[in-house]
Amino acid sequence: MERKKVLIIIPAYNEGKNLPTLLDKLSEERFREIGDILVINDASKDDTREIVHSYGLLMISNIFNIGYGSSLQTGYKYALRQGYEYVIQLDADGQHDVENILKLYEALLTRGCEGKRPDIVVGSRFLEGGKSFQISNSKKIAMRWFSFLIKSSTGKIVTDPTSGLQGLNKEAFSYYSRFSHFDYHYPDANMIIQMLLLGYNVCEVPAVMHERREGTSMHTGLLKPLLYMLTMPLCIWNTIIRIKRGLQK
Amino acid sequence: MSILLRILVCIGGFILLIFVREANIKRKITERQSLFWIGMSLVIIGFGLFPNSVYFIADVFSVNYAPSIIFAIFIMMMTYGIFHTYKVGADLNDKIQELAIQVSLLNEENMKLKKEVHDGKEKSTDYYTGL
Repeated sequence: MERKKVLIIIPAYNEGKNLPTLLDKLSEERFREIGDILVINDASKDDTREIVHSYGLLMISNIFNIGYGSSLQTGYKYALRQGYEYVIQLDADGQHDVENILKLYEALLTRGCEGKRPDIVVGSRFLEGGKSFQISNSKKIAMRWFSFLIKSSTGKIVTDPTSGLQGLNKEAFSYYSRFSHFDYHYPDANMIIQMLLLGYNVCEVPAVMHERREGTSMHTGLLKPLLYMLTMPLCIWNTIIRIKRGLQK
Repeated sequence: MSILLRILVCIGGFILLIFVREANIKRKITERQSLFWIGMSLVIIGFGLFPNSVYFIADVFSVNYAPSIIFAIFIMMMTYGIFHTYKVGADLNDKIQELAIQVSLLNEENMKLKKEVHDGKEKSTDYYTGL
């Protein structure tokens, strides 16, 4: 049997209500042809494990909750060990339209921005051709602020710096898979800055995103977004200093 | 508060701030943990820059001896810090225990698999040698 080149990583925590819709769509032949699907069950307390089992997909179940970033890094390590060429990551809440997978894969294979193949492709809901759901004003401000920080530190315009929908080639995900190369607490705009400053080619493609149907986001409440807004600029600042001092190579 | 003491307090705050930033950059503490210590250092610098704030807070809480409000604030913050550290320690302990159990189980499974592979190999060798 021919080995597939792409691994589609879906980190999931208590997404039992959203997963069946997503996995139904991913069961279509055109997605199965592209790559294998790996669900990282982050010690969910609901029926996530049983649902993934019923679809016969690859699954890694964490023995305790290790968070979104660590789950992603587990996926990168798995992809590296199993010899995949590309990784496409999407959220389990159904916000990322599955059609984006094809766009990301195509972008990873073609010479896009700066005339070379990208190492990382970010799905952006704000580019022409993209589609977004209603975003709160506070989140819009945060996104603009992070875009500004990316632009001022790297010179690159990234319209959707908080997008979790990404495609990575082997160079990028093998770099992320190494210890201390991926911020598993806050893998966001700081990671885009890190990769850009390290010379990786990061491109954006238009992406379609939907409103989550069931459950709540990990950024809900008052304290969590506030802490996030304080912590992320600190993470970005640290990333820039580490690279300037040669602590991050 | 004398000028000299205010300068010393500000320097103390700055030194703490630099220590925290360096520890965070070298990944000795996380960004989230560093927020707490950055807050602490800013409070110290604030008291050095605006010593009247101490008297103001003391008045609000009807404290006769104003400097005791500084001790009270720091005791509260330290208590929170120690409590949080205990919580993190207990959480880590639980996780290490669980990991140790999982590693033991995996070792046992691994030994079984190794034995199965070894036995399988022996059988196939027997087949080819006709023994």
